[in-house]
Amino acid sequence: MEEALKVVNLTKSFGKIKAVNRISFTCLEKELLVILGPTAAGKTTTLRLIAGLETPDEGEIYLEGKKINELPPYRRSCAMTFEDYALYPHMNVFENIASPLRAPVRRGLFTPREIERAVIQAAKLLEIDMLLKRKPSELSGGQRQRVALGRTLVRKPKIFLLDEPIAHLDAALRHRMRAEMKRIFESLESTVLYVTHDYMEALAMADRIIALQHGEIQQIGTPNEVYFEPSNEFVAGLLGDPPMNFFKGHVTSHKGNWLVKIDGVELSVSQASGLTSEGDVIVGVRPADIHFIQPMGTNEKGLEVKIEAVEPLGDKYIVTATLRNGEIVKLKFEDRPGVKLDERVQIGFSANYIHLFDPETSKALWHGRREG
Amino acid sequence: MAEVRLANVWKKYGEVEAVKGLNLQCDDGEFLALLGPSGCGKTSTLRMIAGLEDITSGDIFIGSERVNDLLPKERGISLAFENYALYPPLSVFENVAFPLKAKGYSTQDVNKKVSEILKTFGLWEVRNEVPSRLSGGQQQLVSLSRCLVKDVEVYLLDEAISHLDTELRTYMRAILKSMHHNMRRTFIYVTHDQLEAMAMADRIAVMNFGELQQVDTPENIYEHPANLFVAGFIGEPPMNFLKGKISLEDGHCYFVGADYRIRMSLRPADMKYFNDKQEYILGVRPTEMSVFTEQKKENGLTRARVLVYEPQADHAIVTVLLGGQKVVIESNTSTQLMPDTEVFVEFNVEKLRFFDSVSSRLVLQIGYGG
Repeated sequence: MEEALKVVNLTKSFGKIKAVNRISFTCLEKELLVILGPTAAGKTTTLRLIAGLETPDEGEIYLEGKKINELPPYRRSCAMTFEDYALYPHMNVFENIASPLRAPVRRGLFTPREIERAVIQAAKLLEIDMLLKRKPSELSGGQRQRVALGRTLVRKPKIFLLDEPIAHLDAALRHRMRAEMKRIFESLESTVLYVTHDYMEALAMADRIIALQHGEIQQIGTPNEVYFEPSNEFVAGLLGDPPMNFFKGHVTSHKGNWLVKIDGVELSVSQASGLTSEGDVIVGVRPADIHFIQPMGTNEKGLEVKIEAVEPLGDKYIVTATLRNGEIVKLKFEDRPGVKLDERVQIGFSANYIHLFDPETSKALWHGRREG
Repeated sequence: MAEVRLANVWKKYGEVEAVKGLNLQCDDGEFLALLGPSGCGKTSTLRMIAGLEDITSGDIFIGSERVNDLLPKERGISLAFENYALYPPLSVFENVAFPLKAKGYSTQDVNKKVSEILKTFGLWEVRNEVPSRLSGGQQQLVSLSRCLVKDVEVYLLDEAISHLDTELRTYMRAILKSMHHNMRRTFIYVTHDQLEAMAMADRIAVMNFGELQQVDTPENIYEHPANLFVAGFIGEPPMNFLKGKISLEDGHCYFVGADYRIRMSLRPADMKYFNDKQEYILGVRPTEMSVFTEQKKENGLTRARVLVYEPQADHAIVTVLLGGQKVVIESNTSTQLMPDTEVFVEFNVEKLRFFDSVSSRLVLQIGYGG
């Protein structure tokens, strides 16, 4: 596939803060690439640099092979939506969607009939064609979001730049719009760079995910790669609700077998190709991969915890427990677990489901479960 | 003993009826969530209990005392607001210490209690900062600390963790729940976030348009919603609703809609709940269906077409077009389904709930053991 967008060593500082620090990536034609990261990771700044709303300190931006650093925003063929939608309050829906085609820089390029056709086509796709005469103030949050999207669709840009487009919708509507947007971009075969802090949105929509922190790329990969083989502790904690648990552990080797010890729990780790030396490690385990050990009838040795809270969430239960050293552990179950508040129980997990990280660099050393 | 009881409580703002004849009891030591969308009357209800709003009609009791005419400070309550209401010139520590000092606690007691709660809420590092130096989420935690540091019978919390980012909010849910368990005091908690209510509350009171829809434990609200509103409001992704008529053909029950005919596990005896002329709504949660790429002969699955496939690493959300209607299914298979693929949907016919399409009330629910 062809490269649509290529970013090389992009850097931008605001005062002393490096918002974006030497990032490089490529977005292929028809790809939906998601930039995922927490607040202040540099996600929005990256989009604004590509759109031309900020000037980079260093680095190059190429669109379909042409360097666009020097072009003003309106000549970049990038259509950007904003987190707060930025609709014109005095214009109705039709005029809002038509506004990019009527902009002074495109004067004379489109006849009124062409504009009308483009607006109606976009509105139909977004299922807002019955709202064209309404003002933004007369629309619900979800409808406003669709108008904002419609305004970018009519431009037929080479790439869509979407900044948290559904972050402000309520949960039910967010689910619906997420699926809607995926359907629309798939049917239009669009190239999309999509920014979000919500890992479920990223997994649901992305062909590939860029995990960003402190303005630096931590990992680029398919949703399954990023979820099942996170490159470091940060990425491992970024995807999952509740996030992955981390414990201090120690690795020893005996006659070619690697053994991980976590406070009394011993796990034998097979095919530990990433492990090269004995020493301290960070052990990562997802909440759904931890189980309670029945006190009778098993030789399995576990970690002692005290149950602090059981949260029934309908289709799942989240248990919060504390280790003897006071650290918090989260567990996730599909059915109500048979534990009581304040009870002391043992937890265990299988070596097949753990991840090991280097305590110094936080880089991943070994993953128990491979993709899929 | 401090149960809170509302008897036929109304609140009107001019013509607008914000709370309509509310009857509700929160038991001593209970954690009750008032849950509903914006404008449902939940905050007005809390403010009436607190004494910040007049009651248009009806009575509110705290313990055995009718509190309608008592001032807020006479009611034995502590409040946390959504908009922090902190004292700007005071430090975090002083803000939280303020109500204790006002009550005449010794300096030693104040220091001990305030330090403890600031550490629990992760505010110890910023204890000497003034509120304006903190993020919105931290300010909200200060407000919550100031509310919970007081020793009262009833705590009233309004969207108390709504401004925290997602991860911290999830974390604080468990902290608050565990604090309530240890304090064993009465908590009334207003929220629009169903996960927050489900996670923390002993019981949830669901409100809509000023009216109480249902009061029950989180598990019962999820498994036995009383009407279409509660059914659609609780659960993520939301419950699917399919319209159709119930018909009995060759000894089997079918749910027949515009373009689908689903065989149900209803017994002929269940037919007495239904009228064959009327339309009913079948409520199905995304987790109560499965998707197959091939027809299973023995039980005749329902044909559908894939619109969107959203992978979630260990499961997937599949939106299909079934009988002209979008239906959302949570699937455990990790096989990617391309848009426009023909698929077959299996309903978990052992678990079914039907609603009256006119009254929106639950008509019949089977398979939930209750």
